Amino acid sequence: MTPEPGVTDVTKGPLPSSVMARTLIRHAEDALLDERRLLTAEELAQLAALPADQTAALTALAHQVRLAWCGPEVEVEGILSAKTGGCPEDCHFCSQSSAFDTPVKATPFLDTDEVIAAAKETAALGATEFCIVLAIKGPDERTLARILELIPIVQSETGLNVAISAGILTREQARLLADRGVHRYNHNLETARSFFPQVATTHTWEERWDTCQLVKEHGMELCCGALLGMGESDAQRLELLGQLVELEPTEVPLNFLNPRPGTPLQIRKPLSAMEALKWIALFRIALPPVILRYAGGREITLKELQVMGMTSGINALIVGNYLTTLGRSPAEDLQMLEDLQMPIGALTGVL
Amino acid sequence: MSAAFCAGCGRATTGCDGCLPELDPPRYCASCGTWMAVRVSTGGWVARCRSCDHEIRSGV
Repeated sequence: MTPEPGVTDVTKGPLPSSVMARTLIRHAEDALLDERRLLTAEELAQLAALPADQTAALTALAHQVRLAWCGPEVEVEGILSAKTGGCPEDCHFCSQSSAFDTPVKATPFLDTDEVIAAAKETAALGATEFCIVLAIKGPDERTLARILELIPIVQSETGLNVAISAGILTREQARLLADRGVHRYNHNLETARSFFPQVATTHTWEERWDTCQLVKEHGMELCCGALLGMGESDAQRLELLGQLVELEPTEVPLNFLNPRPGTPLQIRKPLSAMEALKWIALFRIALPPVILRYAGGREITLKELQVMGMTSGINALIVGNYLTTLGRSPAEDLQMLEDLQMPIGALTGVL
Repeated sequence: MSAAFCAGCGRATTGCDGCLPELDPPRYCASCGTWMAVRVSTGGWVARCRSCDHEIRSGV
């Protein structure tokens, strides 16, 4: 609109912040939807610096990006802690670490029947993916043998894609898992390289990175997640996004810190719902083709706003309970997807 | 019957008002205060006391 006489022309002099924000968002929209390219780190940083009153505009863009790059389908997954607690690692957020005095104690590897029963529960909810998770640094020979034994049994009994999360792998272990038909291997970076030393000291970020690379090299889909709210800065969240862009995982599960009793991070407060929504949107905008999954902590962080994540870039979710904590009822999530008219389906996250 | 021990910390309920977080299964036995082996799955959970073998599960 042409300014009236005597009214400041916004094309001259400093622009009001709302005009700058709209310009930045339109520019990102052009890049992601028309040019169909990834944003640069600088473009992403500009969006991350937008004031809180622009979060709705960011989430709207993220939803458009998700629909354009991934479609309306939502991938549903169930997870199971097959070997709980007693982990030698000291990840400061984790109630399963033996380094901290938490109420989650070590329990042995579940029986095959228990794993199958849990997989069937997952399949009955319409899920397509079932992830077997072990609280270990990496599998020893006996543990790997048990995992390898379970994979075809769960596949044949349920028809589910089987994912595994068993820590740091050697090249030979990655090969054995891939040969056995593991669909996806989960190994989270959790946070930016620069922040990682404040999160864990018993292994390095680089070791995690190396396992992620091994997973890809052996043809398994890489599921590599993040945990937000551990005290990392916005700049470090952007750093992590740059690292994930470089890694090109198929799936990124997005966790929000649920401060666990007895852990060093028990004193932290969960993220606010609006901050979580902003970062869900930024993850989608930074990683347009990935399967971006709602994971742990969404109930306590998003509370009544969980549905908004589904229109802010999320296109997958963990249904039901988590590894050691409980989620909201599967019926609530399935009703949410029905109300949103988002069909459940398997996704590949491929460009 | 009211619980004798807190399911969140295992202390006697005379000394704890109940500290189990809302989205956690029981961690300690309400009968004897011993920690429980807990199996959480997509659709539920089972907790078994390591001392008195008392078992409880979700939805019951």
